[in-house]
Amino acid sequence: MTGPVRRRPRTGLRLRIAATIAGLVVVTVAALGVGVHLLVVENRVREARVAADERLQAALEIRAATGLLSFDARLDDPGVPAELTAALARDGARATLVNGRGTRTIWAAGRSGDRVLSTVATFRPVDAGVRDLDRALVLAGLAAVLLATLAGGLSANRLSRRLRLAARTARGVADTPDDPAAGTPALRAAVGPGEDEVGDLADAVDAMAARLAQRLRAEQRFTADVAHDLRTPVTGLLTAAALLDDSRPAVLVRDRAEALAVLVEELLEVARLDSGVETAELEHVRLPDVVARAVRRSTDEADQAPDEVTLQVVGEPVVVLTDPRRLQRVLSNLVRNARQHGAPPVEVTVDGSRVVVRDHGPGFDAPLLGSGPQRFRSTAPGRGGGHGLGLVIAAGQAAVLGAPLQLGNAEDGGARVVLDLPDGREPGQGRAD
Amino acid sequence: MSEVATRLLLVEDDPVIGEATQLHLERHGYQVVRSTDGLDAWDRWRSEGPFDLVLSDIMLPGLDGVSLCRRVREVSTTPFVLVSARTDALDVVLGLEAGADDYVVKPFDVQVLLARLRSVARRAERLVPAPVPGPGSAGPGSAAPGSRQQFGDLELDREALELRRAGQPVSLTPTEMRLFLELAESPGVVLSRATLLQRVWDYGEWDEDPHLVNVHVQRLRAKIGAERIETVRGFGFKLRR
Repeated sequence: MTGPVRRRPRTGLRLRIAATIAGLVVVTVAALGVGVHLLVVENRVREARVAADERLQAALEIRAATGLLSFDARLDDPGVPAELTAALARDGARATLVNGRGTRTIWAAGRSGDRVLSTVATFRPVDAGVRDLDRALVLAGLAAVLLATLAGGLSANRLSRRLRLAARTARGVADTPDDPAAGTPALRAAVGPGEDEVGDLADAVDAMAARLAQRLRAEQRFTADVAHDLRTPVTGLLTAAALLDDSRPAVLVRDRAEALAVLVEELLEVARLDSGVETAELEHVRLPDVVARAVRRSTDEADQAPDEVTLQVVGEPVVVLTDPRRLQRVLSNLVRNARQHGAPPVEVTVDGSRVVVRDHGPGFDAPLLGSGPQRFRSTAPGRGGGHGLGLVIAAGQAAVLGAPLQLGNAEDGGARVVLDLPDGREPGQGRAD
Repeated sequence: MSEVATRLLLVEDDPVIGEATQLHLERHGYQVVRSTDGLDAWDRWRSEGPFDLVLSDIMLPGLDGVSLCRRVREVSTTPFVLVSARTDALDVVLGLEAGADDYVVKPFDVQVLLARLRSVARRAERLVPAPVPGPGSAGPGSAAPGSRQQFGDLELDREALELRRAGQPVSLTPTEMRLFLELAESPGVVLSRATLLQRVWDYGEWDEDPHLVNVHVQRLRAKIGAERIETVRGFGFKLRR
């Protein structure tokens, strides 16, 4: 079956979660670092102010006591910023002002009578100590980012791995809808026993799959039951109809009774194939012999001119290990289908362990090629209106043989079915009959 | 065939299938006793016998066809044909192991059913010990004077249609005897299942059957010794000289 291309990035979720975590941690660490840095600088500036103020106060007291200038204080320094002088309204008032960015200038000034006493000093708030602190902050930040990214990546990986496992399991369930094991909580087993959203999703999908499988089984059982219940009355009808004479009405009744019986038997065969209990009884057989037998039988049954169906053997005949009865069933159904829905001549080719059946009709239509043979597919009026179980049975029996039917159309028109029988052949052996 | 009509016990629980089958059989000269229940059929077998043939469905109330066949086999080698649904492959094998000579699959073609019954009856008739020559053409040189053949501890007397193992007579059903005679016709030669189906059961050239030959060979082996008949995997069987 050819589904849509499924190659989407399988790591998207994992990457996104890890990147988000890393980004968040980087931003947090950076903000913290900058904050700590600014606080430290602020603190140092405040300390410097306090120190300058204390020095000025001492200078003021010394001047008041001795009239001397101390601590590098100056009187009415013209360099004192105007805003600082403006703040010194009354006698004895003191103020400090810090200027500059990298290297700060600290002014401290105090009014003594109508004179202004001031000191000025410069200092760098970011010294070696702060730089060490910054380095420590950066290192700690890097470590935090690394750790968080790792932890986030791991946890995202776990999440993503469980989701991917769940997806793969779900796909497996979807690809084998007829699996008798369908309905067991496969996804739950795949994602583990965690009680989280992934587990919840798995439970939900499991429940859905179980429900669908139950519906499918119910339908299959219904088909089987109906066919089974029909069998006895139809057999009675057929046996009784065989007692009728050969008048035209009797022939019609007999003919329809036979058709009904064939349909019931085919339905039962489909039901058996559905249930998956069918197993191949393997024998070594010469493939061309089995194919010839199947072709012969399908033309005999239909009272058709045998030359409508041709058989060609390419290369050396091979001996295959297969179930000859199922193989004949597959082939005679294919030939019958080709004759009913296609157009003669029907060509059967045996090449090694490959058998090809093709006709020269309109070929398979797109829905059939797309979804494979479906039971009771509504057939186009021109296709003869067969009930369509022949191909379903052929496909089912071929699957039992381990040789899936490959349906296609020949390049120059007409349906073409290829059957590749599994290996196990022994070349060059004859059959003793 | 003999002048006397063949007496047939028909066991079928579905009234329509039973009656229609009886009508068919009576049209073709059989004298039919019909029963719809396995236990009732067993009573009739004992009280209204002897019968020349039994034709029995497998799924029956009272006593199923396989068990009925087993009971009949305990006391008689009367030809027994089972009727099975196509899905009951396992039941068919059980039935054949219980000693049934052949089976037909429901819904059966009446002509096929009649052919099978004729074939089974013919096997039984031919085996009535009488001064008839050996069936078919006796293999050149293989038949000893007096139509006696020796295979290990087995001794076959084609005239008397008797098989002795280590001096003791072996009791074979007509079908088993036919199968043995075919194998004994050409000892050491592999006979395919298809060939045996044609020669013993009168099946058509294109008919195949997964069980009939295999189960009968098994049954025969149980009576004459497993090593006597050799399986050639994928091809058929041969009798050891």
